[in-house]
Amino acid sequence: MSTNPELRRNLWLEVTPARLLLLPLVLAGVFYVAYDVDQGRLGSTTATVALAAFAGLTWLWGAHLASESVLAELRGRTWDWQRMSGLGPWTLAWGKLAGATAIPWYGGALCLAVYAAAQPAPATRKGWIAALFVLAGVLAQAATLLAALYAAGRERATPRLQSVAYLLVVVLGIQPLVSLGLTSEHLRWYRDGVPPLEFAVASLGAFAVFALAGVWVRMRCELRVRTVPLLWPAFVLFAMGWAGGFAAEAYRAPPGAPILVAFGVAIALTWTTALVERKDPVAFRRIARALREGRWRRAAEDLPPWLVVLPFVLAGWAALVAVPELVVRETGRLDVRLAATAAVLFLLRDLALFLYLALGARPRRAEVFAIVLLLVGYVLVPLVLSALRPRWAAALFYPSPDHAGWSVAGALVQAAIVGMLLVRRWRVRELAFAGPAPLAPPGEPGGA
Amino acid sequence: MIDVDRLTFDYPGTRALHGVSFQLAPGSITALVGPNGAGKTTLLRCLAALEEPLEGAIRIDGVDALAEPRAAHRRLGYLSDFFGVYDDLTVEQCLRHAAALREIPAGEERAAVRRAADRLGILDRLPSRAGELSRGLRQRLAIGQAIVHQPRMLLLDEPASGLDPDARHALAALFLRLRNEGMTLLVSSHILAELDAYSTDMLVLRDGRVVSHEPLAGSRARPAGPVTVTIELAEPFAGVVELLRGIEGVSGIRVEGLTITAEVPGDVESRHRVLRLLVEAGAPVCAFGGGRRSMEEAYLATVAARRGKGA
Repeated sequence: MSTNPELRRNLWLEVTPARLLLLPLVLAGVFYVAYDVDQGRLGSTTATVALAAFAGLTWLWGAHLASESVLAELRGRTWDWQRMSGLGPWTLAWGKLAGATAIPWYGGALCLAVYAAAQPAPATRKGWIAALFVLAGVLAQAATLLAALYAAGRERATPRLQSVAYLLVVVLGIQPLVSLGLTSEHLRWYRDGVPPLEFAVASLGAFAVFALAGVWVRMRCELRVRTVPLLWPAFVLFAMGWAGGFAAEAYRAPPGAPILVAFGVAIALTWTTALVERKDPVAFRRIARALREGRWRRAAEDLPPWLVVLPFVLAGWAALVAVPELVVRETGRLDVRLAATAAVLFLLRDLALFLYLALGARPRRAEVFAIVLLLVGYVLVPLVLSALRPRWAAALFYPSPDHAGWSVAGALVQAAIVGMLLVRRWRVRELAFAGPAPLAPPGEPGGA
Repeated sequence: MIDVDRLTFDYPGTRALHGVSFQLAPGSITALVGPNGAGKTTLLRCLAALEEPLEGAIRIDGVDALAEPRAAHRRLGYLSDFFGVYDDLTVEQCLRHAAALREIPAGEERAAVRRAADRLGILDRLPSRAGELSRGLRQRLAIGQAIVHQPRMLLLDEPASGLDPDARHALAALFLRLRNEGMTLLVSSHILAELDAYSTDMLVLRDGRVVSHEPLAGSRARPAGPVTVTIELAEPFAGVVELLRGIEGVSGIRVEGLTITAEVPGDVESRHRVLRLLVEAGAPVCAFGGGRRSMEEAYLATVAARRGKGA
């Protein structure tokens, strides 16, 4: 029946005669109501309802099922067993992705057929819109599966509502791109006018390819296939370049504005990765050991993704410091050099804080505690200090463009303090792990 | 079959295994015992190439499990302590899926399923949904999934947990059958009496360290140290002590009325030889027993010896 056992298992579970019959019946009822609103003909209301139904089926239900294809394995205690399978990472990944979402795609295909029949638009435009929705569905499902695989790598048990959280994040991310393609008439990207619909399709396609590649890489990790982390830096570079293109949209944007946007994207992605990625002290110990033994590839395989993309932040900072005139026209009002330096120093402070908390006695709560501390540091304290005056004092706790010098000073002191605490905690832990020598094996001198 | 060398495993904040080393012989059933938190499950997960240790080496059937975990997976079957099965699939579908995941060619899938189901005594359950099975049958299905590809090595973490006495007995019989078919087993359990029924060796872990690893006295697997046997006579028999003294390996003879205790070599062949020589000499033997220290006794003796060393 199929050469992919994981696809077959998912089809056994998902594709039942009842679902195959019931779904078209439900959709037929929905389309009949829209047809009636269109005054007894296939019109724009029916076409809109068909697209909305497609989105509901593939973006929401399909994405939920895609993440559940892993989360349910974790809850059902079958994930370890899958990890020992002989299937390749991509075979297992696409078997889950295609099999778990087979029924939503089946319903989605019916919706697209109705849309094609009902929409009174040129066939080419309908084709682009269909591609936009299909790619958004692929991206939503691949992204939620990727998030579930991250959850599998971090914790071996997950709450039931986790996939709902992924859905919210993914749909919130996809919706603006789809709206861009459907509603914009003109779009400038790197100073050139681009057709919005085609641009949105191409963007969604690129993000979907990255998400699918991410699924493959995470599956490799779960199956214990060693992998050098190259995909994440490639994605961050792409995101920096892609987002930088939108800087040209701003009124009187200076020629170097894309660099500023790319720098911001690099900081945001590095910061977010460092927050959500597992910060495993054992991995750091493994890296240190591999470096000592000169096993460079092994060390590279264990590098945390945030560390791999940190050079992009530093490169952006170097560019801004070297040619600040490219970024702002009125350099007298804003010191780009100091503002960029403050942003980098605050990022380094936060990275050190994340690691410091992860090395603590309760690493499971480290991320929540870090968020609380950062909310206090970035929001509450500056608000209180702003109210108390002088205003520059608030800049000590966040990268303020108006008082960048004070921000640099504040960030430098805080980064140094947290860095010293981190080094001290690391040393204490390493001493604790140095411990007594292992027992010799039984039968050997000194053995039990 | 399994060669573990100075295996060290860290969790964030704690070291679970401290340079653990041991070897498991082919065809053995090794009981992995130790208190809670000793590192048994971590050790099994490392052997199953599911976790990556900080350092050390694991060779499974000649394969370096750390360098080639996927190759090690092909040689292994593993049943975790909290295992799961696909409740919505039938038993046959579960086993077919397991066979396909373990790269059994499609043409041989059904034969592999029937072979595994037959071994586990669940042939009649093939059409049943896994979610409808009793705990004992689910356990058998899970073991069936683990051995469907006929691995050389089977790792089981608390396999008898929650099973009734009948199911435990059936499980013990199954393990002995698998071993007789050439499989090597490593079984972790808290229920020492259950392990007693089939284990040939005992590996004791404590605080992430190997406390002892020794063959169990009376095991057929390999020669063991001397054991105490009790011989009861139906009536007095002159010269019985001299007769026993003349048998190679027999020592520590004590007589209390018609009951004689003696130290004899631990292997079953030696004990059989002692009994045969007594009977051939005309000794009126009406009972011949002991000779096998129970798993619990062996474990407690090991722990006590360890405490003594510590003190």
